[in-house]
Amino acid sequence: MFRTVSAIAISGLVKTFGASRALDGLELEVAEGEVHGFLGPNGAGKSTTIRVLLGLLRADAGSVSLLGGDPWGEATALHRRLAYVPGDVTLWPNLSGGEVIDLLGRLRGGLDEERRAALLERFELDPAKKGRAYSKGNRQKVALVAAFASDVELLILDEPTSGLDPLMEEVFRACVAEERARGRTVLLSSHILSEVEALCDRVTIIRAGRTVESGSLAELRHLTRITIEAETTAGPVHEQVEPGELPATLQRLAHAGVTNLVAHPPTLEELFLRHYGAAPEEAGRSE
Amino acid sequence: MTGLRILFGLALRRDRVMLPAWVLGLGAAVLVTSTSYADLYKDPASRREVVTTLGETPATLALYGRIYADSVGGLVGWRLGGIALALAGLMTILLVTRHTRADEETGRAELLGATVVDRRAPLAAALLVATTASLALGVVVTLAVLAAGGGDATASALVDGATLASAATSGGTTLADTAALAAATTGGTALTDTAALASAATTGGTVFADGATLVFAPAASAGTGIDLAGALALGATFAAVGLAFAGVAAVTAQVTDSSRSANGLAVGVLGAAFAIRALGDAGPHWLSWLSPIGWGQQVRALAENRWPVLLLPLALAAILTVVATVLHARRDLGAGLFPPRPGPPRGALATPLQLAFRLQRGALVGWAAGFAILGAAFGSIAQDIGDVIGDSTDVKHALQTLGGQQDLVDAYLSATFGILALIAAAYAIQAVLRLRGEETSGRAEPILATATSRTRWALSHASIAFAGVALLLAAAGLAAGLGHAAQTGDANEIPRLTAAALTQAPAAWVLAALALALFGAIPKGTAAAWGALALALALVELGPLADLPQTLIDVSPFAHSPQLPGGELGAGPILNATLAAGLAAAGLYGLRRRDLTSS
Ligand SMILES: Nc1ncnc2c1ncn2[C@@H]1O[C@H](COP(=O)(O)OP(=O)(O)O)[C@@H](O)[C@H]1O
Ligand SMILES: [Mg+2]
Repeated sequence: MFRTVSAIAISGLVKTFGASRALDGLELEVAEGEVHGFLGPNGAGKSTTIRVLLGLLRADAGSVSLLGGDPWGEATALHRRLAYVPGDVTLWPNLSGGEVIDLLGRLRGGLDEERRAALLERFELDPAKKGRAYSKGNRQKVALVAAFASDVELLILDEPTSGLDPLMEEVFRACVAEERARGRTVLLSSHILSEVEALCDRVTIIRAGRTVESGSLAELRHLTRITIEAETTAGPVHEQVEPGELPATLQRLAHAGVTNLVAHPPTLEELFLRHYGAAPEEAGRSE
Repeated sequence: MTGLRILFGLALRRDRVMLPAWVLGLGAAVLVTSTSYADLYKDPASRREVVTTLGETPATLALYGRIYADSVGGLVGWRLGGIALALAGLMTILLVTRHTRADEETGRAELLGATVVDRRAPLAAALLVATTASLALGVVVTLAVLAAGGGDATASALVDGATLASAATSGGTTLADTAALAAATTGGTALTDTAALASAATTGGTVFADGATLVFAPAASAGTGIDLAGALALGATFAAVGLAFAGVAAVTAQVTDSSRSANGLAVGVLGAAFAIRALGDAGPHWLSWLSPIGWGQQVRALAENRWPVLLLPLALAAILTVVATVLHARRDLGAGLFPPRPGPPRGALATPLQLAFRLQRGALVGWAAGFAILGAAFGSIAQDIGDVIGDSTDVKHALQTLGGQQDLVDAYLSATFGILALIAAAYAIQAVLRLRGEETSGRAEPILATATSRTRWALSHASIAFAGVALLLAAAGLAAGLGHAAQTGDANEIPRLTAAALTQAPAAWVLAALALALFGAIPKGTAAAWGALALALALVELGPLADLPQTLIDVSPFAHSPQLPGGELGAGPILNATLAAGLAAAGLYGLRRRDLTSS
C-alpha cells in the first residue's frame, strides 16, 4: 500500500472568530489508507479543523489539501468521495432514522444495501423511529450507519463515540478496523486517548489551535505513561510510571501489601499537564 | 415557586424585542383603524349605510361580526372585534409555546430543570409572560382608542364618571327613554336599537350608565361614541382573549411533542374559534357563545360594554391553566402526551429539494387552505361591498387610494389581493428563513458535507418559498373568483381573479429574496426581513390614510403591484421580479463566500 500520498495535508492553518483565534498555525498530515487519531481537549480546535476540511469554514491563512483538492473551492466534487459524522448529530424531528440514512447515502452517491442492513443490526438501531425520539447515542448511530454504509475513500469522524455505550463503542471499533482493512482512510477526532490508541496508526495532538505532537503511536510511546492508584497497608499510592518500569512497580506494591489497585493510561489533561509543566490555561476551556 | 422570578426575568429578557413589537404593533393597528374610522365615518348617514348593509349581509357578518352600535366607537369596536382579537390570541400562543415546548425541544429546559427550579416554574413563567403581554396590550389598546376619540372622548369619559352615580339612581323608566334618545341622536336603525335595548335590559348597570351619558352629554356621544368605559372594555377584551389563548397554548404544549405541532394545534383552535363565531354571527347566534373570540365580541365594547361576559374567557384561561398543570405533572420532560408514532424504516428522499419540500409541505398546505378560505370569504362579499360603498364618497375615496380608480368592486378586490400579497410575503420570509434554522441547528452541516452545493441547498428551500407565494395567491384568487362568480353568475370572474391575484406575487417575491439576501450576506441580521415586511405593510396600507408623500410609499415593492382586477398591468411585476432575482443572486453569492455557523 502506498503510504506516501496524503489524504489530508494541512499546514499553518489559521482560523479566527472575531477576536478569538480558534486555529493558530495548525499542522495535520493524514496518509492514504491510515486511521489517524486527532486528539485534543475540548475547545482545542478539532471540530473547527474538520469544518475547514469540509469547506464549511474558510481558512484565514495556511494551506489545506483534501484528497488532492481544495476543500473550499472544490467542496462539492470532493464530498462525493468522503463521509462525515458530526460530533453533535441533530436530526429532523419528523423524519425517521431510516429516511435520513437513505437520504444522506443518496446525496453521497449511493449506499451499499447489504452493509446498511448489517450495520443496523450490529448497532441495534431501529430505523423506524422519528428523529425526535432518538437519544444522543442513537442519533450518532444514524450518522455512523449512513457513513459506514456509503462507498467512499475517506471517513471524517468528529468525536463519534461521545454518546455510545461501551458495547456500541466495541461495534464502532470493529467497524473502523474493517474500514482500514478495506483500504479506506479515517480521520478520527477524539479526546479519549484509549480509543485512539486502540484504533489509530498515527496520531496528531493539538492544543489551543496548535499541533503539539504528531507521529506513530510507537513514536509517542513516551507520552503514554501509566497512572497507578493503589491502596497498601502502608497507605495510598498515586504515581505515574513508564511501561518498562511496570514489573518493578508491581513487585514493590506487592511487598507493600497492596489491597486495591487501579492502573490506567493518563488522561489527556494529565498528559498535557506533565508535558507543559504548569496547567495549560487554555487547554481545558469548554466549547 | 422556586426559580419563578428568575425564569420570568429570563423570559422577559429573551422577549425584550418580540414582546414590545407585538404589543405596539397591534396597538398601532388599533390606533390607525380607530383614527381612520373616526375620520371616514364622521357623518351619521355613512354609518347608517354601514350598519344597514354590512351589518345585515351574511358574508360580512361572518367576516367581521355583528354591529352593536352605530356610533363611531361602535364601528371601531365592531371592526377590531374579530381579526384583531384573533391576533391577540396568536401573540400569546406564540409566547407560551416559545417558553414551554420550544425550550424542552432544544434542551434548554433540561439545563434549567437540573438547577434549583420548581418543576412547574417554566410553565408558570411562560403564563406570567403571556399575562404581562395581555395586560400591556389591554392598556395600549385602551390608550389607542382614547387617542382616536380625541378630546371629545376624554370629556365624555369625565362626564361618564360623573353621571354614573346619577344614572344608578335614575330608575328603570328612563331606560327606554335614553335608548330612544340614543337612537334619535345617533340615527341608528331599528335593528341595533332593539338589540341595544334588549341587552341593556338584561345586563343592567354599565349599559345603563352609558345610556345615561347620552342624556347628560349628548355632544360627546354624537361626536364619537368613544368614552373611557368603552375603551377600557375593549382593552380588557383584548387582554382576556389573549389570556384564554395563553391557556390553550399551555395545554397544547403539554399534549404535543414539538413546538411546531404545539403552535399548529393551538393556532388550529384559534382558527376554529374564529370560524365558529363567524358561523354564529352569520347564522344561529348561540354558536358565538362557544367561541372565545365570540365571547370577546359579545362584550360589545364601545357599544354596550357588557363587562360580566369577560368572566367567560378569564374562566377558560383559569381552567386551561389547571388542565395544563395537571398534564404537565403527569408527563416526562421532553415527552408529549401520546407516544410518538414510528416512521418508515426506508426513505424515498433523494434530493435536497425533496427534503426541503418534505420539511415545508405541512406548513404550505396549512397556509394554502387559509388563503383559499380568505379568498372565498372576500370574493363572496365583494358584490355587497360595492353596494354598501355606493354613495359614501369618503369610503370610496379611501378604497380607491388602496385599490385603484376603477369600478368599486374591482377596487375592493384589488385592495384585498394587495393585503393577501403582504400575508403571502410573511409566508415566504418564514419559508426562506428555514435555511437559517437548518444552519444554526446543525442540520445543514451533514447535507452540505455530501455532494450538495450550497447554492443547490439554498435554492431548495428558496424555491419552495417562491413557488409557495404563487400557490397561495392562486388559491386565494381562484377561491375569490369562485365566490364572486357565485354572486354575479359570471364564470369569467374565476380566471380573471386568479390572474389578478397572481400579478401580486412578484412584490412578495421581493421580500422573500430580501430574506435570502440577508441570509447569504448578513446571517445574523435575518430578522431585518420581518422589519422590512412591517415597513412595507405600514407604507402601503396606512400611508394613504396618513397622507404620506408618494415617493416614500413607492419604497415598498407592494406600491408597484398592479391594481388588478380592473387596473393596468404595467411594468411593476416585471420590475419587482427583476429586483427579486437580483436580491436572490446576491444572497447566493454571499452564501458561497461566508462561513457556515452552527451553534
Ligand atoms: N462559530 C464559532 N464562533 C466563535 N467561536 C467558535 C466558533 N466555532 C468554534 N469556536 C471556538 O473555537 C475554539 C475551538 O472550538 P472547536 O473546534 O469546536 O473545539 P473542539 O472540537 O476541539 O472541542 C473554541 O474556543 C470555540 O469556542
Ligand atoms: Mg468538537
